[in-house]
Order: sequence, then structure tokens, then C-alpha cells
Amino acid sequence: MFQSVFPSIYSSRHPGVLATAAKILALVVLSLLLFVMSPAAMAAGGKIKVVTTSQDLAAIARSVGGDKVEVFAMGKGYQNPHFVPPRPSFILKLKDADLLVSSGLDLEPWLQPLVENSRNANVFTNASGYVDASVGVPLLQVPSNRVTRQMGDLHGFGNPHYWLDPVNAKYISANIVNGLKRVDPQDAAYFDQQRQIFLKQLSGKITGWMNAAKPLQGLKVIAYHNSWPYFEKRFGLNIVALLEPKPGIPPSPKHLQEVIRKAKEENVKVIIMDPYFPRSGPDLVAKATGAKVVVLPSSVGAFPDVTDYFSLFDRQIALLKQAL
Amino acid sequence: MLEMFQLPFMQQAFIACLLMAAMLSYFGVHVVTRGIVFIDLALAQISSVGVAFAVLTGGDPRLYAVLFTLAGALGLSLIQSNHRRVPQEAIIGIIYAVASAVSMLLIAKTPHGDSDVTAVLFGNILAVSPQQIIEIAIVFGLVGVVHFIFRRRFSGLMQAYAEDVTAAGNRLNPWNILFYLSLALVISEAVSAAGVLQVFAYLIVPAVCALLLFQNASLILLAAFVIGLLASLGGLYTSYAYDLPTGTAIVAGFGVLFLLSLGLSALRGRRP
Repeated sequence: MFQSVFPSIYSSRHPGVLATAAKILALVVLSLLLFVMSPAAMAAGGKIKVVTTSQDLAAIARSVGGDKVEVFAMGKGYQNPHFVPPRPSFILKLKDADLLVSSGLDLEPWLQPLVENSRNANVFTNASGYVDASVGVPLLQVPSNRVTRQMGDLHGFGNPHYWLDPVNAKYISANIVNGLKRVDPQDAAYFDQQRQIFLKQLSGKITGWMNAAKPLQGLKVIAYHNSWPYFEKRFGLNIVALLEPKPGIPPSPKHLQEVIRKAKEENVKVIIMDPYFPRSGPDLVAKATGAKVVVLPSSVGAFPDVTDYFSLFDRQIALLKQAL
Repeated sequence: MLEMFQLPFMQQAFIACLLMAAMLSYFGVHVVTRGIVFIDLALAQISSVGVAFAVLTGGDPRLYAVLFTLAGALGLSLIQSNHRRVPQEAIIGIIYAVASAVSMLLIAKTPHGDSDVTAVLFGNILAVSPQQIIEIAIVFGLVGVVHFIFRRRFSGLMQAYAEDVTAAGNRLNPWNILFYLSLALVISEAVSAAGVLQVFAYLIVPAVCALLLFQNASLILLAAFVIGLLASLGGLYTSYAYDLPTGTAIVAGFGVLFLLSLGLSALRGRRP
């Protein structure tokens, strides 16, 4: 059929069609230009608009910001923080944000292009409205020499899953409060006071968690992704092997074999994993060794009932104790 | 619908979509007519081999992606199935599968490689930068000019391959090589901005809809562009209004337009 169709493809039999197309195109471009020139939507006043990359940071920002802030979390707890699919609302929120709180340490490679497209210079890296929540946190697994792409990994600056030690909330909240004070110096005293309340609550909770986690002392576990070293250190677990040979690399058959051997040798009874990883690897090891797979919430929002920073650790410890 | 165009990032996304609608709908008519629909996926996969290679050797991923895609396109233009029972599409399929496997093998031992390859294969239309748009406009513009100047050559080529691949493929045709190379350039640019899925939809759906609806060649090209434009507008709006991932919303929009075209052409009693 194309024989009859295509010889005429560029013929001038229908010059009108192309002319009309050109006119339509001109109209589209013209109206676009008009939109660009119209006044931008006015940002609503009142509360400080805080945008965070994760729900963990959002929970802490809400605690220290109290009723002075309005917080939006881009990444959700059920998503892998390394890969969050962007949606238009992210850029809309960034455009109007007074403060952007990120996890830093290259945890969120998806963030930078969105910040640039928001054109909000107040929250660009190193601007006064930008907070790197990791500043001051005693990091684990910091590579001793500069990591190249070949040997390096998703955790090139040290392990970025630092919010999984509740003690680190001390540093995170301090960073956020510093940011809030920069954008709203008048309420500095209020933010300090809110942080003191948060830290007092937190230290009470930490005492409770340490007590509750006593049976977990020395518990040998296998983890899927390397997200748990801070949790391990705080609550005395012992991660004997990781299912990912390196962060971001799914387990190969040979590595699985090695993990199974180690699990049997060390008599590991529990495999922990974040909710967003595939279960096939952990299930395989569980089947071969008789261990139990425990899906732990690794962020606020990972499960519907993990709604704040405190319930995150409540739930993690409860789930691990159930598996004993 | 109009308020979303006051936002610079939506304007950028729309301009990128507009450029893709214009360039890819044209190539789509070629590709669908010649029956090499999956060429786009094969080329995108070859570009991911380039990225994987760059990650392994520490080179520039974008450069290697383009070089590998061009080399792959050259290979694809030379490997013509001369066998009546082995369609060209089968060879493209083999290249797709093998290229996927090779890129996975290359990055198997390089952490982060996975996300680098993903970044190239699944560019996000919301993250498109003004510089990227300028780059796309230049590449598409140059390719467009070449195809416009030699329009008779290229349409003759399409006709020849649509009629009889075996006969056309028996001799080395420099125009065919140029066609593949320009397609490779366009696809590697588009994929790095919008991702494989969205580019595939822009390439194939407008052409198929237009071929269902019209007989006249100019009308087919115009309709393909308009359909690409409609899907872009509809998808961008849906994504903005309901806060959905943008590329995915556009592809779904193409699905709706395809069903409409199918319905319209059935009503008119025309066989595709």
C-alpha cells in the first residue's frame, strides 16, 4: 500500500496543510511566550516551607519546627532513597521552599536536577536555605582513600543511612535548627526550645529502646543492603554478611552460595532487609538455612503505621524480637 | 491547563516534548513503514553498553553512549537479512537481547554502574536542563536539515525497503547508512532526556495512528506530529494535575490516542 502513498510524501499537492501547521506552531510558541511573561504565582505567607528528601528528615523537621513550619517530604519511606522517581509536585514544592533538607553524602543523586529546575536559588547547595543533615554525624565506613567509580559504590563518602541510629538525631536536628534560624532568625529561641523538648523525649525513648533491645545483643543477622551499620552498632546486633556484594549490586549465584555457607557456619537465624528490595535472594538464603526473613522499616513511612521517628525504632525492635 | 505553562520546568518539559514530537514522529513513519519498530530499543540498549563500558574504563558515559550507538547503527544498517523467512526485526531482536546481556555483564562488577546505566536509559523529562534542550535542538535541527534537503532520497529509501527488503538490502546503500546514523543520533539524544519508554512511544505511536487514519503522505506526517503534540500536552497536564510521574503519563496518553485512532479507522471501515 505504501507504494501509492509515499512517492507523494513531500509533494506540493497539499501546500495548505503545511502552511496551517506552521501557523499552529507559531501560535503555540507565541502563547508560550505570553505565559512566561505573566506574573508568577505569589507564594503564600505564614509558615516556613520546608522540603525534605525523606520522611525521616521531615519527621525531625516537624518536631523542631513546631507550628512555625510546613513540611513536605519528597521521597517516601517505602521507596529506595537512592532512587526516587520525580513528580511535578517535587519541583513545585522546591520552587516555593524556604528550606531544603537533604541527607547529603550523595545519598540522593536524583535531587540536584530537580533543584536546578525549580530555579529557587535560596535552596541551591551552599545557599542559606540548604541543609545537609549529615554535617557533624560520626560516620561509619568512610573509605580511607578516595573511591573511584570502579571500586567505589553508592556509599562513597561513608555509609549514608545514619538516621538509623536514634542518637544521630541529635546532629540531624541541630543541622535543621541551624537552617531554620538562618531563614527565620526571629524565632531562633523557639526552635532551640523545640529541639530541647525533642531531645528530651528522644533520650527517654532511647533508654526504653536500649532496654527493649537487650535480647537482641549479639544477634547474628544477614542484611540485604548495607543500610544497617548504625542500627547494628547502637543496638548491639552482629551483621555477619550482606546479600549485596557491594551496595547497589544484586547478589550473584556465587555470592549467594558464600552467604549461605557463612549463615550455616555462624548459625544465623535472621535475615533483615529494607521493604523496597526484591525478596528472592533473602528467601533463597532463608530456605537453604532455615533462617527467617524480617522486612524492617528503614525509614519513617515505610509501613503505614510507622508515622514518626519514634515509631520507626519501636517497630524495628518489636519486629526483631518477634523473630527470635 | 494554562497555569502549568507559567512554570519554567513545565515549559522546559513541554519544549523537550515538542522537539521529540517533531523529530521522532517523522522517523517513526520511516521505522514503522520499514518494519523495524524495535530498532529504537536495540539502539538504546547498545547505548547502555557504551555507558557500562565508560563506567568500567572511567570514560565519559555520554560520549561512549553516542559512539556505541553510532557504531551499532552502522552495524545494523549493514546487517540486512537476505533470507526470506528471517525478517529484519528478528536480527534487531537478537541485537537487543545480546546488548542487554553484555551491558549487564560489564556492570556486574562495578557498583553504581547500574544507576549510571539507568540514568542514561531513563532520563527524566522533569529533570531536563536548558542546556540539554539546546543540545537536542541543535542535533535535531541538523538531522532535520539533512533529511529535508535529501527528502526524496530518504522517502525513496523508505519505499524501497517497505516493498522488498531482500532486494534493497542486497546492495550497499550509503543513504541507508546515513539514515541509520541519523536515527542513532536522534535516539541517543532523546533517550538521555526522556528515557527509553517515552522515546519508544514518541517514535512508534504517532506514526501508527497517522497510518491508520490517513492515506496521503503529507497528512500522515502532519497527523503524526499533531498526535505527538496532543499526547505531550495531555500527558504533561495529567501529570501536573494529578501529580503523577510525567513520562509515564505521556505514554499512557499515547495509549488513549492509539485507541481513538483505532476506533476512528474502524468506523471509517479502513483496514490498517
